[in-house]
Amino acid sequence: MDLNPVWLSIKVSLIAVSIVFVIGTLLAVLMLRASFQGKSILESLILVPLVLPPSVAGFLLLILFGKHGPFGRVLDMVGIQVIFSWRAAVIASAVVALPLMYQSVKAALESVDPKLEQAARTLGAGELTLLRTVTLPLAWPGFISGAVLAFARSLGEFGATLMISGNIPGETQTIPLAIYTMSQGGDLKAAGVLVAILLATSFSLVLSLNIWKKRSVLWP
Amino acid sequence: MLHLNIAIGLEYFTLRAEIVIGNEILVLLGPSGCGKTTILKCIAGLERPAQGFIRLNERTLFSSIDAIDIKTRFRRIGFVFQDYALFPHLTVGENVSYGLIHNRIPADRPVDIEEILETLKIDHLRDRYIKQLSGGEKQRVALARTLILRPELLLLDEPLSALDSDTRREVQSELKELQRQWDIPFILVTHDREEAARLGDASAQVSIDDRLHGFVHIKQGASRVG
Repeated sequence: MDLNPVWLSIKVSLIAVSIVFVIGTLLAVLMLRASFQGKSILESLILVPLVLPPSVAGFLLLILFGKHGPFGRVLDMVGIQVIFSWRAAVIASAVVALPLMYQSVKAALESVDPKLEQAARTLGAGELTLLRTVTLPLAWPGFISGAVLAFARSLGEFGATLMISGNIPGETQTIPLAIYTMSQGGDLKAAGVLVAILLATSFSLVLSLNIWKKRSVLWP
Repeated sequence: MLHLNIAIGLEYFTLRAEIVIGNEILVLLGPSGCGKTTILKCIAGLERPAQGFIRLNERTLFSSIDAIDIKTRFRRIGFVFQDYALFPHLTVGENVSYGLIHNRIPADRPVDIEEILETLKIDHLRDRYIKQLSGGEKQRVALARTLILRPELLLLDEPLSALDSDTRREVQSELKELQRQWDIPFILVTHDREEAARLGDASAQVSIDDRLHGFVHIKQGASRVG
């Protein structure tokens, strides 16, 4: 039984989540702390992958990262090929996982009582200090939630991945793509194994998250 | 000495406040929503008045004419919030020493942490978390947290409203005693007349006239002697 899709999926998802963790956090902090025009527009752009069909996302990414696209051209000059490589799979996963991370982090940061931050200011703390010593310690569960959800979502990315990274076995054939290919080809047994793995993994991730949230007594 | 004359734009009216006090307890009385907490926040720099000035001990903290607006962390003002705003992820000891560790402008002679914990009778609570404290204990921790930095002024937003009547009386006399010891102005906001009478060396009523102009006007004499 070829388990390449599993290792590939894990690798792609871990990298995608790392990227999304940083970008999602930066965006959430930016939204909440900085003031600038066009916040609603930016936020809608971040969240739109939640409701777009994967083929639309895939199409847009093809345009951007294709040989003649704005990003594609630059990367091509540096010798990095994106389309039809595992890197495209990472990008596709990151784009669909970002809204989940962003929303989790934003909600967590917003849930910190502003009075605590005001108190820290009256005690002399600067903005970065209070972020580090008050806001983040109280908001970190949201970061964990976000990362876990982002990971689960990345594992399941199919449509956009198919379009920009192709379906190359061993190279870009993640679990969802392998399931599709195998089912089409009649190998239901192999497909079934992968389905079981994906289902079990995603389900346990979501379940553990829920249990952890319920049970979590963060401070005595 | 605190000297301020400000106009604050609130949701339905403009509040004008003129306050001159020395080292004594000023109580601001008034119903909810009349702006008394906003006055405190403006003094602390958490909100900005529409116009006017605020001067504390020869330093100008705010002046709309001179475009001065000192950031909260540099104002050397202590603030006890209505529900104390204690950090839930830190112990009592860590809450109290927070300002000592993170203050951008450390006090010239910071108070020894053991001393302040003893003065406020919370030394036995040093390793407890906030969740485990009673209302009165939380109040003391909030006070210790601010006083350890030797603020030049202490602001208290309804500090006793969450306490039961017995604890209230006890804390009222302790607050008076604290103010005598620290010899800095205290401004306390409350909606309880009796409390105002018992605690305040001076009290000011926040009033709203028929044209929905609010005003607070209090001028006290020289600061307390002895």
